[in-house]
Amino acid sequence: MEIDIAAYYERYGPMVLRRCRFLLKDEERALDAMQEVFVKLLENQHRLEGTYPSSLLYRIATNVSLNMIRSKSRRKTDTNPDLIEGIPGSEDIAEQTAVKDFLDQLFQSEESNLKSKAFGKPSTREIAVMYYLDSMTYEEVARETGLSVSGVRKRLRTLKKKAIQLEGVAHAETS
Amino acid sequence: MPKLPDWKLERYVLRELPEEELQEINRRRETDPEFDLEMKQAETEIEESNRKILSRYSADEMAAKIRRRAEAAEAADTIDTAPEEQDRQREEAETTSESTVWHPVFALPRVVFPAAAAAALALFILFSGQFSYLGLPGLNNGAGGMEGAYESFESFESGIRLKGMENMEPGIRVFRRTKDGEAELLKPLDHASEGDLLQLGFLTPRAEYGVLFSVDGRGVVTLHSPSSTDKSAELADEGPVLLDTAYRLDDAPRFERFYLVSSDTFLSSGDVIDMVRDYIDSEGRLPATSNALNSTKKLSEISEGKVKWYIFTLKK
Repeated sequence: MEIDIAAYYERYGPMVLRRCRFLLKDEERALDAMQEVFVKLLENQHRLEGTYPSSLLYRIATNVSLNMIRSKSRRKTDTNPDLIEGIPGSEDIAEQTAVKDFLDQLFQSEESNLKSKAFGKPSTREIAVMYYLDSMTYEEVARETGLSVSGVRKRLRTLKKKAIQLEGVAHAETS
Repeated sequence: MPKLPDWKLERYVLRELPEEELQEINRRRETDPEFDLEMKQAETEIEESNRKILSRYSADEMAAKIRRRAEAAEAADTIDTAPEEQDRQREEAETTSESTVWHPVFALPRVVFPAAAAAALALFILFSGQFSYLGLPGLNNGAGGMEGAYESFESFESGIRLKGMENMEPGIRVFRRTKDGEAELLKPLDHASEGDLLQLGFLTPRAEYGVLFSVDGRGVVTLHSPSSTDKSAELADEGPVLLDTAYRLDDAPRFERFYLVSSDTFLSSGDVIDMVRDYIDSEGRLPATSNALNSTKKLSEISEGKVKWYIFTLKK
């Protein structure tokens, strides 16, 4: 039986739109992303079993928005290594935006097929957003993604190394 | 006490946190008046935001749009299960693509290619200014106010010889630039991705009037040829047409579907785009097979002459 999309939208649409707005900073793109989130929900409604819809929708919204950001970040070439210092524990909106931009830079070269990952196996990028941008704990990221806590730690450790390398390259370019 | 992160706050308001966390937050609210006040304010803000969003984007309107998009997505899948059309498109592709890779072998200025040189290279359709009368495929502003599907347009190099355009049957050709700078002739139903650089070509039956446009997985229509709705769709010469710029696919999901409509009498690209927009508004989507396109009365009435539709779908 197909889900009542109007009812789902009425309950969860505003949350999804706020999430997309926060990540995309553009009303039209956020609206587009929000609709896409519900299309993906329709396609994968069987995944709703045994989970809170809000959790699933929030994750889909994150990935759909990240895919859209990725298409823009392809064209970005500047780097700002100072942002590395600002990654952990940012709560201020401006700082969070800077963290998001930094994550965009960090994953600029990542060629993994994010398009198909509305959910399912999490990308490192998604994990990074949950941890750094959404201030989730390792345990919360693990719960959301289905990974083990040690798996989350490992992914983030690798990411940190990559960030440090990026910082090194940027430093070398500017000195 | 730290403020709750947005994701947790949203789920708290929806009462969709695990019971244990829900109770923990409620306990904090009971014992920490400052936190309780923060939560009350946050709940009020979210309720107000919900009200504004649902007022601006009503559930009925959004649900209808989401269903249309879902149907468009399903239509993309439908073509996989339309064996006749699939076979026809594949057969056509196979007969026109013995070699699917061609190489940039020389460079030509973007001017009309001299007839003598063209004769000497009769096997190849040259990517040069001889097609420039068609103009460049329009950015968004050229499509009669319709939103464009592509994030940017970039030129392929001049002077590329194209295998796949020679001796072609009427229809649409799509080339994709490979990482090593070569180009690949794509077949209908091939997979393409966001960021792919594509070049379009087409041939109409009698090369009189032709309009090439595409519809993506979001239902966005983009006019490719002529460059804008105020330009003529009349084709100056017989023979295949290759647009003189290429473009990168954007992140529209699921498919990019190209449509070519030709007529032996006057055909207006503006009328075509208006009709497509009206048709999608009323029916949800355009037909996804050439047979269906050609047998749809409304679509065949776009010109007084003999109208013929062609289709080429890329999956994403």
